[in-house]
Amino acid sequence: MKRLLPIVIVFMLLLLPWVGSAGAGNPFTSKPGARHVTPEPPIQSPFVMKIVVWQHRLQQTLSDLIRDFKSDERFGPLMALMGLAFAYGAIHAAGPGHGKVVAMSYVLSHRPSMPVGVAFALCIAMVHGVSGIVGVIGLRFVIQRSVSQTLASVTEITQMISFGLIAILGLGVLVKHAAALFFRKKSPQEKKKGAIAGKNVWPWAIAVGVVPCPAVVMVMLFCMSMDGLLLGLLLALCISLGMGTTISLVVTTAILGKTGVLRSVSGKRFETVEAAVGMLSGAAIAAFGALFCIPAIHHVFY
Amino acid sequence: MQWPLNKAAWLGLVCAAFSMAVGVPFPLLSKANAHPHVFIVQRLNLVFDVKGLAGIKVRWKMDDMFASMVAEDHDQNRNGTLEPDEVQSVKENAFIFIEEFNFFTFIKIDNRPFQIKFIRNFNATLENGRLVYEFLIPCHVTATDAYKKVSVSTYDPSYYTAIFFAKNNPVSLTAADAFELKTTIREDPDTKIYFDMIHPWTLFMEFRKKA
Repeated sequence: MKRLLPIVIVFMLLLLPWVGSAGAGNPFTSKPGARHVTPEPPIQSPFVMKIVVWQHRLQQTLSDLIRDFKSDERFGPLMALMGLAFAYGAIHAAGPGHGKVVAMSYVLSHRPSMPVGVAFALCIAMVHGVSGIVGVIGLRFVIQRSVSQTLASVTEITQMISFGLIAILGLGVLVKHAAALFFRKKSPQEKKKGAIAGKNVWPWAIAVGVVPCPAVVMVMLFCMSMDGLLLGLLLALCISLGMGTTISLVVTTAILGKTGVLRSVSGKRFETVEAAVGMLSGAAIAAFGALFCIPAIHHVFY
Repeated sequence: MQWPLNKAAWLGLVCAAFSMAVGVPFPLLSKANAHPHVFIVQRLNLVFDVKGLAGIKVRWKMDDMFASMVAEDHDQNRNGTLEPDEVQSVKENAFIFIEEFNFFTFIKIDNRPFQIKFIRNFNATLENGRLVYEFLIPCHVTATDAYKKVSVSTYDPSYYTAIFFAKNNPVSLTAADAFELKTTIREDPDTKIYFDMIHPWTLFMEFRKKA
C-alpha cells in the first residue's frame, strides 16, 4: 500500500488547481458581465508579487527599447529586445495560467517521452502566441475593427472553444484509460503499444493555446503603433519561445516526477496504476473543461 | 528505520512538487488570463474643504502598451493628443466599465467600507505616447476633534491590472492646512486579493481639526 502513497500524493496535488473560476478579460474594455468576480482563498505568496514587479519592469524596459530601436534601427538594441521579449515571455508564463495545469494533466494521463513533452510545451506556447498574432492582424487588417474592443469578444469565444476542446479531450482520455483498466484484453493499449504515448500533441496544444495571448497582443499593437509590424512579429515569436521554455520546465519535471513515482510500483501493478491515474486525470480534465465551458457559453450567447 | 518510499519515488515526488511549484504556484490556476497585463503607477491627491475631506483625486499613469492600444482606438485624428470628444470616447469605452469594480478604489472610513457611487472630472491625456487618467472621487468626511481614519486601497479584484504607488510624491494634499494629518502607505494586512496571495498597497490616513 505504501508504494501507492506517492501516486496518491501527486494526484491530490494535481486536483488542487481545478478549484477556480472563469477566465478574465481586460476590465477597462470588457463590458460588465463578461468578467469574473474576486475569487476565494489559499496561501500567501510573495513570489507572485515578485513576478508582477519583474513583469512590470520588463514591460517598461521592453517598451523603452522598442522606441529606441524604432528611432535608430540598430542591430544591437534588436538583440537586446529579443532577449528581453524572451525573458518577458518566460516570466509571464510563470504566473498563473498558460495551460501549465492541463499540460501536467496530459503528462499524467499519457506517457510522453522527454522530447515529446518539450515539443508539447513549445506547441502550446506557439499556438498561444500565434493566436494573438492572428487576432491582431485579422482584426486590424482584415476586419478593420478596434482591436481592444473586439479582442474581448474574440477572447470569450476562443475561451469557450478552448474549454470545450479540453472537456472533449479529457473525456477521450478517461474512456481510453477506462478501457485499458477494465477491458485490458481489448484495450487499444495492448493492441497497439504506445497508443497513449502522447505523440500527437497538436489537439492538446490547440485546445490549450487557442486563446490569444494578451501579452503578445499588447506587444504587437505597441510595435504596430510605430509602424513596426515585422518587429512585432519577431518579438511575439520571442515571447512565445520564452513562454514555451517555462512550460517546458513544468512538463519535463512533471515527466521526471511521474517516472520516478511509477518506478516504485511493481511491474504487475504498473499498468493498472498508470491506467487508474490516467483515468482520474482524464476525468479531472473533462470536468475542468465542462465547468468552464458552460459559463463561457453563457457569456457568449446570452 | 526504513524509509517508507524508495529513492526513485522520492526523486519523483521532488520533481512533481517542483513542477507543481512552477506550474501551479497556487491552487487557482484555471484562471487563464488573470495575472496582470495592465500596469498603473498612481498618485493620489487628498482634497479638503472647510469641513474636512472632500474627495480623492486619482492620477493613473497607464503603461505604454495599454496607452498605445487606447491611442490606436481613440485618437481618431492621430495627432498624438486626446481632444474632448476623444476623451469622452476613452471614458465610455476604456474606463467606465471599471465602475463595476468600484473604480479599483476601495475606501474605508473608520473601518467601514465606502461605496463609490460616481466619479467626477474624468480626464485622459496623451502626451508623447504616455497616457494618464485623472478623476475625482467625491468622499466627504467631516473632521472632528478626534482623529478620523480613512484608508484607500487601489486594486483590480480580477488582477488583470496591477496598481503601484509612484515612488516620488505618491500622495499630495490640497487645502489641508486646517487639519492635523498623519499618512502612511503600506500593505493592508486585512485585505487580500488574487486568491488571497496579495495584500494591496494602501494609503492609511488619520486627520482631525487642528487644536
